[in-house]
Amino acid sequence: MKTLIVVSHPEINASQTQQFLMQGAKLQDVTWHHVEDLKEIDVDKEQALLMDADRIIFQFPLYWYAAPAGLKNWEDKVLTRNFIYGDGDDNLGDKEFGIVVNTGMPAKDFQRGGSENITIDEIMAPYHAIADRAKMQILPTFVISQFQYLDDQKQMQTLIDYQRYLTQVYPDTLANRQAWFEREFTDRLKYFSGTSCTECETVLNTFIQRREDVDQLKSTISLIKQGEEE
Amino acid sequence: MDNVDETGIWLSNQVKKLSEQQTAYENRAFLVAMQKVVEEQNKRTEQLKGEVDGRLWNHEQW
Repeated sequence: MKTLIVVSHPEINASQTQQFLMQGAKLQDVTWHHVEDLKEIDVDKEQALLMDADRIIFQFPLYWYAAPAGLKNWEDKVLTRNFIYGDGDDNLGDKEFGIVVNTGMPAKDFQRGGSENITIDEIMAPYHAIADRAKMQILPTFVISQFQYLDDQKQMQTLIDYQRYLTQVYPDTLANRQAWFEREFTDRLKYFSGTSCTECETVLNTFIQRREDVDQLKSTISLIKQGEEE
Repeated sequence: MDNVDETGIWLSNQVKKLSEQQTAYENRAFLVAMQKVVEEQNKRTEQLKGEVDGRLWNHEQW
């Protein structure tokens, strides 16, 4: 699966959050595409990038309940009516669409009755409307609130949650999480320090065994349920 | 049955130990997050076993 991250931030080098995410995005089959870095927007090239991806992510800080102007400018040029739906081809129809947004206000503020009194989903409505028009599968928005206040543990969790958001199969179920960790553990264990391969393999095999135990229990329950209905 | 739960606890401890040995930030983060999934597996296993027991003791089937 190929993931394209369309990032918008006018001063990306000064953004601690974006720099942190950029490190996390250094994964196989993930492309980091910063729109403010483009000298000019070559519509054909941008559309080809979108066509080549299986999952398209818009990533930006929230400025006045919207993305920075750079993303809007990119959208208005690249997402032509014909490309999205006008020519009768659903160019993006088989793709997934997600948003990674970071906010300076706490997450709890973005709800009815909260001090922002508006939800993140409401704010993201224009992007989701485009995704709907393009017949894309919408992923739940990934929100990072007040990154600088997160403790070390929460930052680490955010990094891995972000990597899963970029590359894990949708939807985010335990089964899909297990599959992601299984695959990533296999790929990453050669970089682990202070441990032998045998030890890592035992951990991996036990993890797989535990996943199979869960699957087994689930199928036992569905057999019992069938029996109850008969 | 107890044996399986012990395996879950053992795995959680092993992954934790492994995470503490990591010098690279990303590896540590990965294993810390993986330990959470192991704990989720353990919880789900326990819940599913409970459901199996509950359904097998369904009084309507007596």
